[in-house]
Amino acid sequence: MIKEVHKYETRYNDLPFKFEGGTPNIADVIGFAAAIDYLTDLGMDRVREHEIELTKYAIDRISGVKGVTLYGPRNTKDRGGVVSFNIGDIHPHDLATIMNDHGVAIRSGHHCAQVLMERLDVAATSRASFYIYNTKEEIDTFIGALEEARRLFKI
Amino acid sequence: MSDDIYREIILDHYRNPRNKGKLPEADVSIHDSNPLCGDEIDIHLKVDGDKIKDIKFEGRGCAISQASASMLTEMVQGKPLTSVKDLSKDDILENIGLVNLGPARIKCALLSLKVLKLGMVKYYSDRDPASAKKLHDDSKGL
Repeated sequence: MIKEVHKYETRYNDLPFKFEGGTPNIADVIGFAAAIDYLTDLGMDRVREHEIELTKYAIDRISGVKGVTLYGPRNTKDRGGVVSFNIGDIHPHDLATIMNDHGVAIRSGHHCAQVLMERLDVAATSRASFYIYNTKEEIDTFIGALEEARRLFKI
Repeated sequence: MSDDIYREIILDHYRNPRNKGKLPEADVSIHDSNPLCGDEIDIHLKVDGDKIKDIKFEGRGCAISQASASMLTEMVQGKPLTSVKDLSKDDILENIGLVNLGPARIKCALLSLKVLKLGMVKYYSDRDPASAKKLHDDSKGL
């Protein structure tokens, strides 16, 4: 933020204000409060319960797909609503492309954790994640897409 | 759409890459990667007069990037540098049979061409600065 602007000269505000934008991020602060109200109304216990139920169902179903490697603890109490995995020699970016064709969005790549990828000795991983608006039927669709990928790559 | 991409020939080059490995006494070796997806390609070139005498690649990444690299090495093996110099994005997409690749995956298919062009920039830098500059500019568009 500035103090004065002239045609050939600018004077910046004192520290720390010189490094701040002119308008604070007011809209996002209000949005954040609305998000907190929304989740509080639902109840965070119920949010977590739904997340655990979906994650458990997903882990059970994915484990039944031939060629799948799952990462992370099996106990859903010890993990969040995400499931990282690989299948055969399908690179996660290829898998994401195939899943996308079936209307399933997954994350693929290093997940900003290249050192962990080296430790796991994989090029990358695929990751499915769940939230309050996801359903078991959607996990079934996800499994169907995974089977399709397996068929395409002959695994 | 996936059925069009992951055809037999792409999977074959992915699982059985041609010209993969190191090249002892290469005239040029060059490495590049796509930071967004982590695909990596190294290309090694042995040049004889005005021809590519031998080419090998090493790499890690998705089926499209690795199959495209494998197919590119077959395409330019033994070819005159002048023809390789002018290879375009469309030549590569036609070569691998993926002319309708979407924006998210096109970089995968073109990484090996970019690395090859950068390798030729290195080769030409002392010998033919004008060609080196053109190749360098070309590589930026990939």
